[in-house]
Amino acid sequence: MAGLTRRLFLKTLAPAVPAAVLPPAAFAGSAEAAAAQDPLDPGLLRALAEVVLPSELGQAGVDRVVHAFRAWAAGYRPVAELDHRYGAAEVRYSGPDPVPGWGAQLRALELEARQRHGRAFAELEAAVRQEMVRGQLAREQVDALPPPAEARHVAVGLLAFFYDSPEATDLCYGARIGRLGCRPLSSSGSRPPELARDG
Amino acid sequence: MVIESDVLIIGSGIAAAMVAEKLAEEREARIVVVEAGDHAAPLEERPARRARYVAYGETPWPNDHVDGLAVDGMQSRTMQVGGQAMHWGGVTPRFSPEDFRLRSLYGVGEDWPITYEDLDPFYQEAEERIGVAGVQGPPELDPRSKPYPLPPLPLTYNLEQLRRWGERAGVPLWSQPSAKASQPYRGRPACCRNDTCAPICPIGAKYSPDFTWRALVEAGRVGLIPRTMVRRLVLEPNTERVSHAIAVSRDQPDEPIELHAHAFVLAGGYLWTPHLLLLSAEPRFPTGLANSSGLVGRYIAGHRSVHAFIELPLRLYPGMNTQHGLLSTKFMRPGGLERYVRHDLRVWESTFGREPRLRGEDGRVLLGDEVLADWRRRTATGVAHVRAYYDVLPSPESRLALDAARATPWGDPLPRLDLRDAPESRALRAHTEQGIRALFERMARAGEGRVLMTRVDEFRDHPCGGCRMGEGPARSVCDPWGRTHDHENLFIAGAPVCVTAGCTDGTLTFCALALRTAAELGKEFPPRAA
Repeated sequence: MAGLTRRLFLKTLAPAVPAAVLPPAAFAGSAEAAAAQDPLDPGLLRALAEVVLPSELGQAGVDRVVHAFRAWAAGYRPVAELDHRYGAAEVRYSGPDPVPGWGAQLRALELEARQRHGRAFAELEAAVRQEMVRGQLAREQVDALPPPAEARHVAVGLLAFFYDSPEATDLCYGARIGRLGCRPLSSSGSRPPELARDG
Repeated sequence: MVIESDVLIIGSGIAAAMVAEKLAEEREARIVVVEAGDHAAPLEERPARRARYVAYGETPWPNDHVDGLAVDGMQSRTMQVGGQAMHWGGVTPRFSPEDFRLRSLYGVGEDWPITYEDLDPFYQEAEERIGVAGVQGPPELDPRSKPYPLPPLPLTYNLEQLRRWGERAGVPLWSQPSAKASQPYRGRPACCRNDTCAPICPIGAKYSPDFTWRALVEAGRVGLIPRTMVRRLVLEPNTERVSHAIAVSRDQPDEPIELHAHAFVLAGGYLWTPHLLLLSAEPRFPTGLANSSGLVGRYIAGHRSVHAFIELPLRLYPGMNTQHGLLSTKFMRPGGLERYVRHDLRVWESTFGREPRLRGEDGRVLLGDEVLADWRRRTATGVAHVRAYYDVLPSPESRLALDAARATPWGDPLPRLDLRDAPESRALRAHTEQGIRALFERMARAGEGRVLMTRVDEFRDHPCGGCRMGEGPARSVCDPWGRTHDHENLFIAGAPVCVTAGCTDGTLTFCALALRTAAELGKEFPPRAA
């Protein structure tokens, strides 16, 4: 049995759309292709992301998350066999594709913005957009973030996707932990280096 | 179709892999392995499968089960080449010497017919075959005759802090032994902390039995037949030796298969091994083969676990090597006891209660910077996950029987499981769990922390038994080597022969027992020329 080298590991990883673990460059081009097929309007999604994601990400960071989220959504497979829970014998399957519903929620935000404020959602001040979203989520019984695909609301899906990522963990702890990445054993005994403020 | 061999191994999990590899290396014997499940995804596909698991929660091992073979109470549906060890965590502690002498030392349960010292060389052999990385614990708590084959996985920054906390609490903790390569080993690369050991190591640093099968098949040392379910064993007409197994191909179910061999090894685990023996009843053995004792399917065992999540004033960084942890065997070796309680202890980093959330304490929805600020505030302190597996002695009524009401896709009765604690364990349960919770409280106080939550997992982990070993046929199914008392050419390997389940992960013990069985069986074949 020949072991996989780090290089081969990364090479074989790329085609599998692992949105939560790959650097953004891995998705170059894939979101554009996905846009034609999925209903997640990138402009609306970005306008939403700007008011639900942390500002420390900056505009480039928000764009990166939106891009990765759309690629992730395009790669979702309904009724895929899920990982067995430890000590449980039942076989579980993924649920229906959440993207059509999320797309409808985005369009509803746009409609609400035009009807109540006379402008497109993306043109509203951040505080107004945030209160619109907050109003919708107040009706959701959401506390802990679910697995992204189980989110009933697109804002929750986006937040769940981001906060499940190694990037979010690093941001929270202010350290380059690199969760889920391939890292040498030898460095595991040291405190992770601080995260540079510019990311 | 008739297939001939010297040794037929039924099942292809980790115990089967140990038997096959040892026999193939040491003896001249034609070995055939038959497995009901499919081949697992090869190593080359694992990075992509792991990526889907991380991104979407999809199992990296789809179709690792056979439809129609679900049993209430079973620990896992897995039935594939490599068995459950395709997605195990790779944690490999040994039982302690006390596990083999419960009656003599504590007046409960039963002694095994073998001692820890009998099994020690086979523990060592198993550790070398699957490549265990470990560190010698305190000698009085961690007896072993030779060093581990691989240096230990290093303690992460988090685990070193937790180890010191354990020290303050009077609990010696050390790097848990694991079948994960801490440096390149027998073709496997060194672990690089991908953090998804269970269910899948994407690079093959963690041992899984498919590596053994691939090597043996490519070397022409073993014939491996997947997707073929053995339905019964047939005795020779005039002896009590097994003549052949009757199997069905899942691809050609109308064409029966006979698998003839000199010796037969049942390696289907605690569930399917006794099930096959019961299915094989015939006029001379009307209650099932190897069952003159009436104990096939009885004394099925497994340990229960008590968990705690303890908040500590420590800065821990999640994801440094999440599935690596600390082990203590202090409470497996308690010395004299007024009331019998034995358990292991494991400690990991945890994110319990530290996950990001969307609603603050006041019930208000959090958005934007509020989510991150709330998360940062709640992660200023760390959480340790502490778990104790405690010994649960099995009742003879803890058993597997044939279920007349439910059948396999081929019309055979399915197994029915009814797991029960022995009366002495039932009587001790509350005392045991209270004692473990009190220990967790003491540990929390020693670290100036607090217990956030405790829970008990009801399922019996690392299930075993059902064909227990013993000195004679009155009270056991097989002898101390795994040879059935009733059929001289029928052996049972791994989990089913256990007398009790111990109080720590059982997989390495199953491997060591399987190797011991292979050593005995191997005597029937000439040594392999160098």
